[in-house]
Amino acid sequence: MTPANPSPLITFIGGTSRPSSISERALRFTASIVESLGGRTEVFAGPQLILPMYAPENPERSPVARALIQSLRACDGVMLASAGYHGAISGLVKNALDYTEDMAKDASPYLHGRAIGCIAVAKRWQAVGTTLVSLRSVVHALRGWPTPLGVAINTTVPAFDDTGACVSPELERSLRTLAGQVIEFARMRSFFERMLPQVQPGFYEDALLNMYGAYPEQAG
Amino acid sequence: MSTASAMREHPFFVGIGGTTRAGSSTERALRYTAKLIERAGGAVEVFAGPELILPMYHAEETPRPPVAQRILAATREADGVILASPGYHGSFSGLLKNVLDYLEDTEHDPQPYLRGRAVGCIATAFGWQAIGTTMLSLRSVVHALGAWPTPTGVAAITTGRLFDDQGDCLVPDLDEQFRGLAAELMDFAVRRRASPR
Repeated sequence: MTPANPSPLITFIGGTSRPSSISERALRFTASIVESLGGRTEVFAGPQLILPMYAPENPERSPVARALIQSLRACDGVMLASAGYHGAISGLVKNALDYTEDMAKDASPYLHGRAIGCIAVAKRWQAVGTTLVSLRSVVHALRGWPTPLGVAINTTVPAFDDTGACVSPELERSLRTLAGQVIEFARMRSFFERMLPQVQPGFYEDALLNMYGAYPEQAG
Repeated sequence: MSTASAMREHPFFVGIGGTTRAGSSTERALRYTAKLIERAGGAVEVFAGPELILPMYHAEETPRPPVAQRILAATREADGVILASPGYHGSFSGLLKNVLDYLEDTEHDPQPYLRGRAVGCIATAFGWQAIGTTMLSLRSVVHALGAWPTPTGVAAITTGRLFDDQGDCLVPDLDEQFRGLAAELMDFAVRRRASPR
């Protein structure tokens, strides 16, 4: 493992208004995997996500909204889990993500430079697929990198028991891969940040500088 | 991360796209992105236009045509990929999809399909609806191939004149998208090559 950032911070957002929903269990189970891989986790899940409707013109922020944005600003990667409501992300999860508009003018805006793992949970496969696609589309709009693998959970197939343990070896394998991809991306970026001056003296920085206007991480 | 094959001196990219017509706007968009990457110090091999007219992929029928063999050899070595497709009836063309279907031949590679590489998507069409759905379908294929779609996808409405005779982009807003895409591809490739595994 790279010494640069052995313990990246991953922010977890998801679940439904009902405590211990399948999407929340999926999220918390994945958080435990991230911790076993050496990552740090901050979880915003379930009823905690019942935030006021995001209103850009209203400067007041609830304590949870403030903590959420603080966590997203500090994090090295993100995990999203949404139930599929009528074939797309729930308004609950989307409203939480709408608060990232507060990060629009950050040096690293929205989810720039972070890998985002997406978990879609729905009853039957059609809604699972369209929910996953809508999560990934939001990730692109927020300038993040959706992980190659997205995890689709069909709730008509047993997934987690009442203790939150995963009862499907195949699903567990997928969630492990997902967690691994988010962590790997975070470590890849931090390693490069540290190595940049030694690896390619001046060469790539100049090239990237010409394109970006300013090298992204060093601008912040 | 080390790749299965020997690492090239500079980050190496493969560009695939265009239409059956040589010099289509889609092909120009692809070649312009390749040019930006080359300016940034990368190397790009472009497969575009009529040369993408391959026989329908058929798993059992070997050997592969020479162009398919070259595309497979290049993608196996690639640190990143650019895909450019017109929107045909709201999705990518069969021409491009058939080329990508040949990646099935890499199934048993140590690094199958496009695994672990960043892939930039360019969608062209006459209207925004088709562009959006074409972009989504391209990205879905990228995920299925085990790769990372770049945050930026370039969406180009091809009704006006977009490129000059040198192939440079004439529309500032669109140019910014191409530069963003090229920078993200280069950025990912450089970090990936520098990371230990």
